[in-house]
Formats: sequence, structure tokens, C-alpha cells
Amino acid sequence: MASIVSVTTEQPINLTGTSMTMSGRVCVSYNSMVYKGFYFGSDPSNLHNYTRGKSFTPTGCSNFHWGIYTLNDGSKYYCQFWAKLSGSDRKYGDLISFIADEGLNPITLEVSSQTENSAKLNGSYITVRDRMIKRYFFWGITKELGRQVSLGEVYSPTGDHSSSTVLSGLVHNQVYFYQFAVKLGGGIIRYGEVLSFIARVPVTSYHFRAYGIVGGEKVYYGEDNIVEFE
Amino acid sequence: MKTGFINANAKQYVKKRYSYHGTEKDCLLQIDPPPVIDLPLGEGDYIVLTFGSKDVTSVSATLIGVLIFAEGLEKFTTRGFEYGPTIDYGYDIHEDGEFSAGNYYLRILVV
Repeated sequence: MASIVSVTTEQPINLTGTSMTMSGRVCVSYNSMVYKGFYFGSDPSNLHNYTRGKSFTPTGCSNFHWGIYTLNDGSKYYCQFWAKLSGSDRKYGDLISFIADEGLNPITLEVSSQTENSAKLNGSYITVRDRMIKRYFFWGITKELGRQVSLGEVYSPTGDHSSSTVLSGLVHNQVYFYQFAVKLGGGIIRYGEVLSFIARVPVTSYHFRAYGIVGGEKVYYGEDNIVEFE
Repeated sequence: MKTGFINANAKQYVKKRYSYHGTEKDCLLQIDPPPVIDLPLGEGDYIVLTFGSKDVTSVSATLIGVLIFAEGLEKFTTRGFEYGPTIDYGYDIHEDGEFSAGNYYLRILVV
């Protein structure tokens, strides 16, 4: 007698920020007509049922797919594949989740234009389609940051983009931490790395020379050397 | 007067035989790194050499200097470094005391 051996919800394929293909796998013990479908949505307690109808399924395992083209980039979704034989109960694969991803990863860049009490924070991101992007710099004197500068929303056509902001009123020689971030549709914020800098004019090298004093008055000098800081 | 290099315990030394008030004396100096230097030529000569740096980071470095003079002479009372972004220097680090011939090391921080 034909039976369903297993039902598996597989990871979505062709995932982008706006579309994906749900994927499920069913294994039957004998040639059968199999009814199948997907539960899908952003609320796991209220998923929509996308029934694919029935199809002849040969003995063994077969994969089934269904494309979805209405995702919001950065949003989380849930998917569950189900299958049944005529006259039997549905069997379910696991409920899996994923985040629609357009590959928009902000990068925190090194500071520039430093003075003793100011610095220009820099960041960049790449868009693969035209969109509006909100940009932020988080900063502070610890890695927990705690302060933020919002650069507002900007139209970002496909391609590379950079953002920057100048912090002023910094304490000379204080270490500061900062992080670039962008906000996508759906309210998801993506973060770059946390970097740090010291509030001062950047120093890359020093000249120096040794000296010694004999008898409190005669001064002898060595020659000038240069040390290059790493 | 006689000069030359010897190696003891993998450390580099320079040895000088020196005539001081008619008495032959030796001046043995530990040098790091090995030097190519002109030693004091006459009685009462002193030399200070700048000998580079070590343990360099993005914000600090240890500067190396060396004092050279024959034993029996008056010792240095101060040894140090002038340093800064240009050859005008602008910063100073030093220590006071009675210092014999040999290397000395002082650590500086980027200002």
C-alpha cells in the first residue's frame, strides 16, 4: 500500500530581498497521487496556505517549488511544506524561517580629517536596486556606543554609496568607538563593524635624538632618527 | 689606543683601551644593535648616540640611546630624548641620576 515516507521543508532557493522560491521534498513508498502545498507568511501563528494541488509522484523522493515575489527586504518569514495522499491526513515538514536578504551590508570605514577634537566618520553600502535608505552612525567612548547620529533617508540608486558625518567637541586623546548602520524596509537595521579612533591629529612618525648632560651643563646630542608608528 | 669588537653571551660589546692620566684603562660598552661608530678620540670625550627604536606600536615606541665615555670620567647626570613630528622636536623625555656608559631605553607615547 502506498504511503508517504517523509515530508521535508527545505531551505528557500533563489532568495533575494523581494523574492524566493519555497522548496519541499516528499518521499513515497509507491507511485502515488500526492497533494501538496506550503504554509507561508511573516506571522508564524497566522500562515497562509498555498496549495499546489495534486500530481503524480513516482516511487522515491521528489522536490516541489513555489515562487513568492512579494517579500520585504530585511523581513523575517516562515515556511512549511506539507503533503498528503488522497484520503489521508497531511504530513508536515518542519517550520523554517529566513530573512529576505538583498545583500545590503554596511561597512564602517576608517575616520578621516582628524583634529584634536573632531573627526569625520565614514561608512559605505551597496544597493542592488534603487531604494530609500536610512543611515546612522552610532558612537561613544565604550564599545557599547550609546550615542547616535541619524543622517536621514536618502534615495540610493543601484551601486556604491558612501556616508559620513563629522563629530566635534571630542576630548583630545580620548578613544572613541563608532559604527555605521543602515535601515531597510521592514525596520531592520544592519550594522557595520565597530571601529575606534583616538581624538588627535594622526601621527605616523616622530623624529628623535638622544642626548645626555654631564656636570649639569655640557650637553651631548646623538643624530636624528625617525620612528614609524605601525 | 686600541679598539675592537668582542662577543659575549650573544650580546654585542665594543671595547676600547684608553689612556687616562697616563694609565691604560679599558672601556667596555654593551651595544644594541652592533654599531659602526667613531669612539672618543681624546681624554675627556663623550659621545651620545641615537640607536633607533623597538617595540613600536601605533601609539608608542621605545627609543634607544647610548652613552659612551671612558671609565673614570664624570658620569652623565641626565640622559633622554628629544622627539616630535619634525626635527624641531618639541617633546622631551629624560631621567636624572648618575649614568655610566651604555645603552638606555625610554618609552614614549604618541602625543
